[in-house]
Amino acid sequence: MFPFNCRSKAFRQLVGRSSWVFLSILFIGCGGGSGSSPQSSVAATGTPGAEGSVGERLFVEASFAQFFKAHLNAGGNVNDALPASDPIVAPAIQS
Amino acid sequence: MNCRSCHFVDEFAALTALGGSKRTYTDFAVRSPIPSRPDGKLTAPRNSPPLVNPSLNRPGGPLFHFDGEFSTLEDLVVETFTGRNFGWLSRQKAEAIHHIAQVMRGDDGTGAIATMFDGLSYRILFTGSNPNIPDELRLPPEFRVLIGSARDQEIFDAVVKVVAAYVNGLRFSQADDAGRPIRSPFDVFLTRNGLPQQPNSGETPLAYSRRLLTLVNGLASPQFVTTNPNRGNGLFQFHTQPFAFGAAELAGLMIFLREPSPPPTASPVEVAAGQIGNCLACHAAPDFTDFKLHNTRIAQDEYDGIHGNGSFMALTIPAFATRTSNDLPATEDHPTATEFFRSIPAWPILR
Repeated sequence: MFPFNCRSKAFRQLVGRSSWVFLSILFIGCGGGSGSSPQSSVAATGTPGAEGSVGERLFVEASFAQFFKAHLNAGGNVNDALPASDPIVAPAIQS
Repeated sequence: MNCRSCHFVDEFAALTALGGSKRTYTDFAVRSPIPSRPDGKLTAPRNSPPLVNPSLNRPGGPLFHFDGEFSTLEDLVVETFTGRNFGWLSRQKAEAIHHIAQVMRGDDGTGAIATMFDGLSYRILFTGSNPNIPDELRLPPEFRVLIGSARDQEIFDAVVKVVAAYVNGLRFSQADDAGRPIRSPFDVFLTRNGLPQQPNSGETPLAYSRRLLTLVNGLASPQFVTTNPNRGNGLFQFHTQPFAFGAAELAGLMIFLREPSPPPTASPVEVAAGQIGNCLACHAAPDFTDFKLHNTRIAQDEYDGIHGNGSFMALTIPAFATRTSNDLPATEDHPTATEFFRSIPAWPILR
């Protein structure tokens, strides 16, 4: 597997979703008066922007490829690390 | 293979041979490698397109991928996850969707990638409401799916929607972590001289660019930029060149914005005099792009180099009404299509 850095560390020029998420949490957390706890409120509504964070994990999910399917067909488990990565990943920096 | 296998950021920033720079989710290849399969293809038709800012609003809506074949990020993600870039052949779309659904069902959060994201299984993560989910990963209801009971297609659709949302969020920031605006020397120059930064309501980018040139021409004493007012050290945050917009940059701006009279073709007198860039014809401010796909002759030159000068122009391009499925990309609907119009010139299927 190639090195991975979370987006906020890897590309600081990009939109800082984390601050947006923080403000959203703060807003939701301060929204009283409904009789429900802040925790249950967030559980019901979710956190705006969380789809970006979950999407980032799916963006680097290596198990969706046909190469991994071949690994499963050979008796592998979904949660196993591949014994050898797809060789096609190695030459990706060719000029 | 995953999306990040071709859409890099800082994986190779330490390699000075590659310039030591970050990528905006693109790679270093002429053509991106794809998994080896029985069809013999080893590369995509082009290298991976950058992913920062492609989903910005534009006239006519966005176009994605090598040749603009997709108008939504969701369609792009569907075809990537179930297509040749991920190793799936054109008849394997249903198998790919089933496999992805099975991965989502079977993931228990112990994998190497999962542990970078709080180690939750997809089953838990996609409920959105499980108390073990940290708030920053708590999906809003429209992105949730009950993986344990959902059909393959429902799980796959949820995956696609979330990945599309992630890519849609890849935009250049307008402010740094401290909330200070990120502005170019050009932006600061406009502000310092009271020049408009955006078109007026209803004004086209071309009309705005022409108006900007008129206003720049009218500056009696331009106020130049020698330091970044938004950072304490006066420098760029990520670049080493001086933060400056001076007389040379102003002269360049004016050449950039000047047009022939009348456009688009310069007269011999204008050509001889120079100083007319006519760049705004395709790079009108404030976006400095027309958001269109252009024949930049790269494919044409390569094709002619292999098949002879003029052979590219001699190709017969069928109209929408006359094209056949053989002219289209190979998909589940047309699994034996030759993909002629997205072929690499050296591939033997060219005619």
